[in-house]
Amino acid sequence: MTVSSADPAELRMYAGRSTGLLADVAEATPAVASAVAALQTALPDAFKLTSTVDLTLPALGRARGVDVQVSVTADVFEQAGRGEGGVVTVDDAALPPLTPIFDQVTLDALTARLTDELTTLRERLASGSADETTLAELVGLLDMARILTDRGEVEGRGVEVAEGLVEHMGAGDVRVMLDMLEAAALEDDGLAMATGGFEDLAIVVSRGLEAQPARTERWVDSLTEGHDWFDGPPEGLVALAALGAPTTRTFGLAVWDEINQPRPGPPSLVTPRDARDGGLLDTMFDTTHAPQVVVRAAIDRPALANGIVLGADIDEFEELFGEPYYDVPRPRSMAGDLDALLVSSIDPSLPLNVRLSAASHAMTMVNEASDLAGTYRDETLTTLGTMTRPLLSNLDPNVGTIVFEAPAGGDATESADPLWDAAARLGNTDPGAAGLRTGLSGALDDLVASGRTDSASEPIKLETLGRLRRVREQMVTSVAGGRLDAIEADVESGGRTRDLDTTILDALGATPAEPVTVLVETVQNYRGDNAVEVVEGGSILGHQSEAAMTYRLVLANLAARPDLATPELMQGLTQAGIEGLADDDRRSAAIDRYL
Amino acid sequence: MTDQLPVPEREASTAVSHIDGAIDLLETAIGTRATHAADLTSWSGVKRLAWDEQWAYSQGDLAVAIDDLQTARAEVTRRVDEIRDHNAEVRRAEAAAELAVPWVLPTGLGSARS
Repeated sequence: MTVSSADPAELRMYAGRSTGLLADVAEATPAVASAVAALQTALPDAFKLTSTVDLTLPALGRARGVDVQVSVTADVFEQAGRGEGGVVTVDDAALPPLTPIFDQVTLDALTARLTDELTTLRERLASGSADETTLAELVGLLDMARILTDRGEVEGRGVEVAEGLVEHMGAGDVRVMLDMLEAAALEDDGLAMATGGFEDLAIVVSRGLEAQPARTERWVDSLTEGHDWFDGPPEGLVALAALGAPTTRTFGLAVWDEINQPRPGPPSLVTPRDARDGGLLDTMFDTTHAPQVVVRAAIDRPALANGIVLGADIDEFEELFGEPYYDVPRPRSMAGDLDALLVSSIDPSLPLNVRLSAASHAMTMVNEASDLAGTYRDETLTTLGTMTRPLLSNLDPNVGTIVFEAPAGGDATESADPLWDAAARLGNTDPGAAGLRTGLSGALDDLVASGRTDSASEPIKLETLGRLRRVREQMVTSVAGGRLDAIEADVESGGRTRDLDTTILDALGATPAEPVTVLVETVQNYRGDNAVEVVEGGSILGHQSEAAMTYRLVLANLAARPDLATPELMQGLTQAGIEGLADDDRRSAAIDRYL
Repeated sequence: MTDQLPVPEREASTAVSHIDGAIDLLETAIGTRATHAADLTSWSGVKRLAWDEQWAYSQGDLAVAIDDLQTARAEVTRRVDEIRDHNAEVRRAEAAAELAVPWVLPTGLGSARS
């Protein structure tokens, strides 16, 4: 509870004088408007007034509003009655609400003033002259600092304002504040106030340090200096990391790295100061396991989740998201939290390049796993499958790579190879295939919506479509088929020259639109030496070339439409397609079956 | 000449007077509010900080209102001056036109020269 004090008589005097004057101005306004209107009428046409003043003086409304607020505030103080020493104090919650109106100049001015107030407070704390009102003042100032940075955030200057607030602060100041807040949390009626203070301090500190990773690390080092890790991570610091602003990651990641350092003794569990109810973390996050606290926070903070995923090398990634090793005890419920963190790391609210980085990193981890199904839980495999979505959504079929807007402007590209490899591996597990299905379904919607398929058709585009189709074939069901067809229809509707892919599909459909000889020629032209090399160099699942893909597609469809399997077609397919199949058994089977 | 325009002296004077009155009131309001806000020494707390901020903002609003009124006042006087300038120009043109009227010489004198 934050409190304010005032002498109601002072407030009354102010309100009485100012309100009367502003009323006089308002009363005079119609006369001004009337006189100017009369002059305008009297002026000859060529000399009319051109600049018109807003004589309704809308700004007056704001001035009257804040003065009315003083009147209401005076009422509240009067009703509260005088306390000890004649001072009237009331709970801030009982005072009329304010709608902050800040422009840049006033925001800067208030930032400077708040910094001064914090400095004074710190000096009082350091000199030992703090009293029982100091905590309330601290909480109140932190509340105000939070309001300021929130307002700065609205105006796109959140970091700048927060940096101004923490500019003259040191880790020692934060330590003092944390100590006060932690002590308050132990009091019977202090937990709510302390929680609010932690939240506000975390918001301000995380925003203020966001662009200063080196300073952040120094702060975290300083804040943990002398801490006995045998008691587990420091509770206040973990709370501060978890409660940071949603768009920030620097401070949270620095604490995350610190609490995950290998240390002797019981790992990760915070020893709550308040044994009665599990302490601050237990109250806010329903756990005292420090990493789980941060993970749970990151589920709602995509920037932090993204940083955690990107910061994990293969060993850390598997230790974190894989089946727990026997020597890494952690709460059973944390596994679900970690899956949610993976999803959060590619949240659509993040910049696209940042989302793609996390998704691509996850695919690399999938490819590096020696035993995918043995390392990850089924739920995690499904989640990893769904993480293909942003990558698939941003495939450019025309160049066969993942294309996105680079942070520095212009387009950047990323190889799709890790995606194809990971898709093949995930598709070989039922949970992974289920995740892929979800990812692909959404991605195909995204692709159609993006219009990225609506451009000239080239072999590379066909390869991409073929690979997408290959991913679809790996699915347990083919729910994504309709959407893939939609992409192909989208290409078709572009009015361009028919390409191989649509030609084949048409030829194998109910009403073949092209002569079979054209089909054969296109299949033959489509197969190239390079494609064969690709097939021979890669695994059947991961590196199918477009030639082999097309050939397999033709064979599969011919099984349903044997009437189309003319000798001419089959001869062409034999020449073109069989060479494209590196797998001897499959090639033999194809020959045996169709020739 | 007929394009000399009437100067709306009375209307302009009335408008300027009302505008000046509004400016005086606003200036008084700004000054009085500032004096009494400074006297609110007993009021402390977060809400006071926030109020301070909005109060300063509203003082700025009132100052802007004064600027607007002064702009209007300047235009009123400028327009009246422009009309006066116009009328003076008209009078000068009339005088010049009068000077440009050709002399009509007595017939006899002309005949004698020719």
